[in-house]
Amino acid sequence: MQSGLLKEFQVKKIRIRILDILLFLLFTAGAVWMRYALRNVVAGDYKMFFEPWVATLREAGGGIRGLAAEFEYVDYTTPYLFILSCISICPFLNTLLLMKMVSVFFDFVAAFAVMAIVYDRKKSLTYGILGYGVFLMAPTILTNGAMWAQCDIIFTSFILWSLYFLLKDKPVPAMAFYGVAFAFKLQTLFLAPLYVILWMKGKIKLKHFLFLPLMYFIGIIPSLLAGKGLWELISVYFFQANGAMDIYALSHKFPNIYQLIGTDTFLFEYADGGIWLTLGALMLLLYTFARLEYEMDQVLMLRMGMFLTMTVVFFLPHMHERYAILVDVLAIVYVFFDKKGFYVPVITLLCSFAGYTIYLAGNNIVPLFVYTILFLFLMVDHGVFLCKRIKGGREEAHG
Amino acid sequence: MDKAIREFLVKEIRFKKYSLAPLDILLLIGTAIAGACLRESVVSYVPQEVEEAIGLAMINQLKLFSMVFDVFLAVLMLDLVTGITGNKIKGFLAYGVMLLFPVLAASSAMWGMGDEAYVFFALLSISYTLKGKGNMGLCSLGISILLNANGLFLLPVFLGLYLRKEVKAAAFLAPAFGLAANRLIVTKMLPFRLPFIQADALLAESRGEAVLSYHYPNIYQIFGVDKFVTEYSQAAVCFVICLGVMIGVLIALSKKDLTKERVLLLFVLSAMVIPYFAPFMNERSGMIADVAAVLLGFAVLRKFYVPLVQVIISYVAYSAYFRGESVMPMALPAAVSLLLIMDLIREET
Repeated sequence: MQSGLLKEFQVKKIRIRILDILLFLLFTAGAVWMRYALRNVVAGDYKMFFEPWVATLREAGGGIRGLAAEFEYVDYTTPYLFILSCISICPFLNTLLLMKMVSVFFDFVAAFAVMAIVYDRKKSLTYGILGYGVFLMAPTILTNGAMWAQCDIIFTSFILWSLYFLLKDKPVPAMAFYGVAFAFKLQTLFLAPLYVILWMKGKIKLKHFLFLPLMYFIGIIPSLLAGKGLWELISVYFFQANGAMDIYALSHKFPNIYQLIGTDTFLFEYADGGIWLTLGALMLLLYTFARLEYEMDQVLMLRMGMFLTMTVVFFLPHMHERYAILVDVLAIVYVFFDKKGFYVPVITLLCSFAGYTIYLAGNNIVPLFVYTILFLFLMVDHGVFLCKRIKGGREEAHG
Repeated sequence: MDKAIREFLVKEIRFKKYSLAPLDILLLIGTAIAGACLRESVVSYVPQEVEEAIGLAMINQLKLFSMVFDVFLAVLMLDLVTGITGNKIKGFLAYGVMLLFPVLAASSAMWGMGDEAYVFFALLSISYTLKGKGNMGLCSLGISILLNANGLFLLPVFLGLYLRKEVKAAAFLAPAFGLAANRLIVTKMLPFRLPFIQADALLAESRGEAVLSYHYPNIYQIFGVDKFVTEYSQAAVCFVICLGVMIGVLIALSKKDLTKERVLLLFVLSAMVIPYFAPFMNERSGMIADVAAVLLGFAVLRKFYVPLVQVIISYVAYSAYFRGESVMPMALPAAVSLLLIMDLIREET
């Protein structure tokens, strides 16, 4: 029995064991089952935004024609609206389920990216499948799409594939996937400082950044075909960056700096000030990481990615509960690169899920400022790690 | 082309005895712009009590005055950190941190009480002392105390330095003169008005009933700020004087060498301990500690968390004033502040 489970066979360059197949089937079935259990939950966002949007798209004819619809308010770009527009005329199942199914599909796309990253690192399919399983079971990943019907996993999955190629030193596909992610969501830019550092360290070329406007432009073609104006399509992100819909609180249940100083006063002053503070903090970090000499390795890249993204969401105003999803996925990947860093995904997911549970369940058992302190602790830990690693690397390099 | 741009960004260009890379210049300009915009975002706010106490026109002048001193503080910090660490990258970072430091930005652009001036002279005093010019340090401290009596928080360290024969007794005339002049101006015994010195007292008057701590996270936030105000405040003044003397004597008795790092740590400790027990401290009373902690964080890298925790504690107090109430019970930051003090004492011993 035991030897049967461990029996190996080779498919191209990959060695597969029966155990791996069983694990993969178990995790896949478990992940599908968990998502199935959450299928009927209707979140407020769905009622308030998604349902009316899909109805508007349907009235306009659905599919590409639906993209010509005029919305009172919408902050999604064409690629996701196109998905919603197709859903609007789908004759099977209801809108909520179809939306959730799209997100769940991308849960798996992202999970396969994690599997590929971990496999490449560990050179073991078993570890790769463990990564796949851990990712699919992570509470924020599970609830974001399957429960909340949000689509953050779509851009996240493309970023994970971008990361996969970055770690393999293949900048062209990495930036192409990053560009696709950007075409879906502005939050992709939370990780942009890392790509700037990677350029400074010679991992990426300037011309590769052209994938961002290119993919964005490809993404809006369906809307252009439907007759929408170019400026209207480009300005979606400007509208989002202005936070026009989110101004009623400085933080939307996200454990960042505003939970320490109050989310409901100085709404305009702190919102502007917070943006400048974020830019200033990023300048200082980018300067430090760009100015110092060190060898950028995979562990450093992941930690830096988490640290920079956390800095952005910690200081930026109007952050929503789900905006640390990039940190969540990087933290899950990271634990397979440094097992001593097991606490990183634990604390990250704990802080991240706090906002989810307040929004979805209305539970606010531990005050959010406590999670903010935990989040800050993790940022400090990342900072210390990076300092030590960079300093250690430099000392090693200088004998 | 990428390589050429990258190399250009970090290539050192000599300007007389200094050398700078384009990336350094970008940081200096970028953080200055971000710092200016940060202040611009919040400058329209005027605390009602302050407006009633000193008038809108004066507040605006004080805000401008404070912001100019924000820049002076940043430049002084650049010089100090570069001097202590011998690393100009750290110096540039310290400059940027100072310009973006939330407590400074809020103090100058939102509050506009002119605190930056006395903090600048307090930092200058630390700077002189670290350079071995303790007497000049005391003179600078005298100016700081003249502008705001909070400068006294650093005096215990100078007492210790005096007992170790590092400074002369005559130099103490400067802080003595500064304190006397400050009291005369604050109590309006002199015929002229100096709003940037009187601002604190005017604000305290406008706050109505006195409490032992105005949102400042110190011992009174743990035990209560509104009971036995007269009794506790009188006892606390004596306690703080004795505590200051004790700190000075302990520095004198210590057999450890007075390295720059150690002197700096003592200054930070003193700037945190004294207001922790002193009565009637307001939200901004930790400003010397905030700024000195930044210097400590850059000079002694393992103590990087001190400015981080200190700035959070201070801003929680600021926010309690701005909002009218704190997000968390003030006993919590007060307890954290105590832990930080204990950590610094452990480091010192």
